[in-house]
Amino acid sequence: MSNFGRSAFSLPGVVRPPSHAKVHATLKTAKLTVTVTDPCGKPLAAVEVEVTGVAIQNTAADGTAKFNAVPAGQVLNIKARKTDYGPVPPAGGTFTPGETVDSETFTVGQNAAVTMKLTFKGNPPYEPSRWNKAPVIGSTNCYAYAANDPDGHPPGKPQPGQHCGSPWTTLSCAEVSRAAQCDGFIPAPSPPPPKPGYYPVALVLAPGADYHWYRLDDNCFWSHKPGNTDARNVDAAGSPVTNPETANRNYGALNYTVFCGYFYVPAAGIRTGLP
Amino acid sequence: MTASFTLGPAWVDQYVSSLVLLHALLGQPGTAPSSRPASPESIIKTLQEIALDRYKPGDQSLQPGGQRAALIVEPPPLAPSETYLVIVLNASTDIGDFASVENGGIVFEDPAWAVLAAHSIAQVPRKDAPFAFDLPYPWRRLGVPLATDNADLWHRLGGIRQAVDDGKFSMRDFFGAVTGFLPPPPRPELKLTQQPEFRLMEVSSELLAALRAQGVQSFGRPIRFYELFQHPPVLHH
Repeated sequence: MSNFGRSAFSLPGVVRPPSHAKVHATLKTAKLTVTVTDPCGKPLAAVEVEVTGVAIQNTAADGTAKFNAVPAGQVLNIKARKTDYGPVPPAGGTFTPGETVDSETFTVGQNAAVTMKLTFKGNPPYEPSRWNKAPVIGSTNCYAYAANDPDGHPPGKPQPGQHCGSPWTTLSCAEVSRAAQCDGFIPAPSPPPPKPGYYPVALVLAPGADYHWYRLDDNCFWSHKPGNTDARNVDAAGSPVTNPETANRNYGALNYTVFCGYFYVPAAGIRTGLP
Repeated sequence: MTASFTLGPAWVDQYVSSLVLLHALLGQPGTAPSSRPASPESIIKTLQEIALDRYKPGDQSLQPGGQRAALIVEPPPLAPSETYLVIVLNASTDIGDFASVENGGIVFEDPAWAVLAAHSIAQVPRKDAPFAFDLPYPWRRLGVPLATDNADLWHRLGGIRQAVDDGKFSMRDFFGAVTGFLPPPPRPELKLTQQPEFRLMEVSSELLAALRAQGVQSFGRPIRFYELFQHPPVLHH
């Protein structure tokens, strides 16, 4: 039986010792530590963790939420979710991006530890094999890649604003951003927090020469597709891109020294190129 | 077009000198073209013929101390707010393919480089040479000038002349690979063509200065990515 609910024992962390068995003959509880991470395994603070019907806590700076007494011997639903994503859905409800659920049964007196990984459900998968073959490789560039729009393009490079009928006209952060927003990109704060149903992309410039886009995949790494060349998730130095602001963006003749900012793209992608 | 090449009137001698070099490469050293070009527009047809391997050297003998001495190997100064003529070859390159901006081609400020690049383009590699991409062009040709910077680009003309004189000219020492030929603007939706095509383009002195400084630059309406020179590959011994 559960000793949570409306009893005097409902406060998390308050568990009477067995000597008080006059009230409850047996305390069937376990200790539970829930660790919440992002898709790369980095601990996440301020994530709401709910042991359904028992208690709710936010994770601390180390990504953990500690429950000193959870019911043992019965299946428990454990939910982890970003607290700024709205109300927790009811048990069995649909979970929005940024949430995950686990079901566990603990034994009496167990010191249980559960690790929960929040997924970015709006983010595209890293699929170089889908992009790095003809005709996709020669008909897409970083912009189509950021928009997750691989198919149906003629040979060439879809340009920001081209699909909405107002392509960019000067090589500046403001103008390329304007054109991308015309196509449907949405400005995002820096750094961009996870946004349900969207994924972040980043815009950089090689002054006078070129612009470039990166996107955040569901594996927590950023990837990009320079022009009509291969999609990749490493920077100019060959290191995985964990942050487009600090990634090596110097390709010699093309040195993307200017970081323009972040945008959100709907999970379904955005159509780019010729209307 | 009212604009002129950055070489000013000297472009004619520069162009003829480069044809003399070309004749040597084609096995007719010591000959010059039978006529001098009347206008920048008139050399486009000749460049096209060279690139398509249809150019026939004339048999007019050079005068002693003739055109070869006229080859200019220093970049001419650019006047502020001036508009200049350049020659554009519709070739894509590795760096052009890498850029996000639509390819524009290779820019030749000096008609002599355009002549030599056209000759280089005409040399079709062996059919078993490796493909660069799965795109519809046959195989890699050479056509983008190699240089460490703009001054080196001009100096290398002297290097080409010396290499030709010494019988040691190799295109790979002076040109990088092109990856295909672009459709005529503004039709990027067309497939890459098999045909090299030269054209004239006007460019402001400010943009040309930026192109000289970086070797690459994006400009025009619609904006295109252009390449003036490519850094030589680093050789490891």
